[in-house]
Amino acid sequence: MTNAAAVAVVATAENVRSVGYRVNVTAEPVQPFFTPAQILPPELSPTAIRDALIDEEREEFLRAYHEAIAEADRTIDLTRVLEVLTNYQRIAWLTKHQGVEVHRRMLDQVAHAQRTGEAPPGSVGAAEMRALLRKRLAR
Amino acid sequence: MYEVILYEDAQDQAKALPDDALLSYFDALDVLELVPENGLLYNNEKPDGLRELLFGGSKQGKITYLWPRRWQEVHIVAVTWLDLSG
Repeated sequence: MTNAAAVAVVATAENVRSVGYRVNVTAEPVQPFFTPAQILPPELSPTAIRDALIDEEREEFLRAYHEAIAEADRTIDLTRVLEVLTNYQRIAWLTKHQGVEVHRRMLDQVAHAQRTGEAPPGSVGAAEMRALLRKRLAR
Repeated sequence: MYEVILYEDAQDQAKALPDDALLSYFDALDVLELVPENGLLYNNEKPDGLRELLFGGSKQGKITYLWPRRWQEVHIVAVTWLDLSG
């Protein structure tokens, strides 16, 4: 006899108080290992990703997500959905980590550089930055 | 060998790196000067867009950069570090 069956014999909704349980229990079988919450951590939830993204990246995410959901509906396969969530979760993390204002400026500067081939004013070479940081390490 | 350039925000972020991250950060700069194609895509749907290179013992550092294939320059646009001590 399994534990679940044993509980069903000794504890029912009617006699639960009389057999010594301090709270109501259930004999219903449970699946502790495969809840949606465990499969999908909070940072991978579509709403968390959507809320963390800015403007055009949010639109790109929603378009990709809806396409992936439609594909999953046809194929009964969630792989594409999970790929989209993982892809945009990384972008959402960077957005949150460096802040919306810096992230937006980054995307604007990238778009400008892609159009013109030019780095924005104030940019420096890695050698200069390396020398500055090495000086700090030497102190 | 490619010329690596840092945008202003990336400079500030690099200056904020902890001391124990700097050596692996320098190694990552070396990688970008030689083989920028080794980075992962920032957005898998945009193969010509930004890329990312991880650094640090636990890969908690990330350099985000632009390297269109016709360029001889690599533009670092962000340097982030995840503090794992907390």
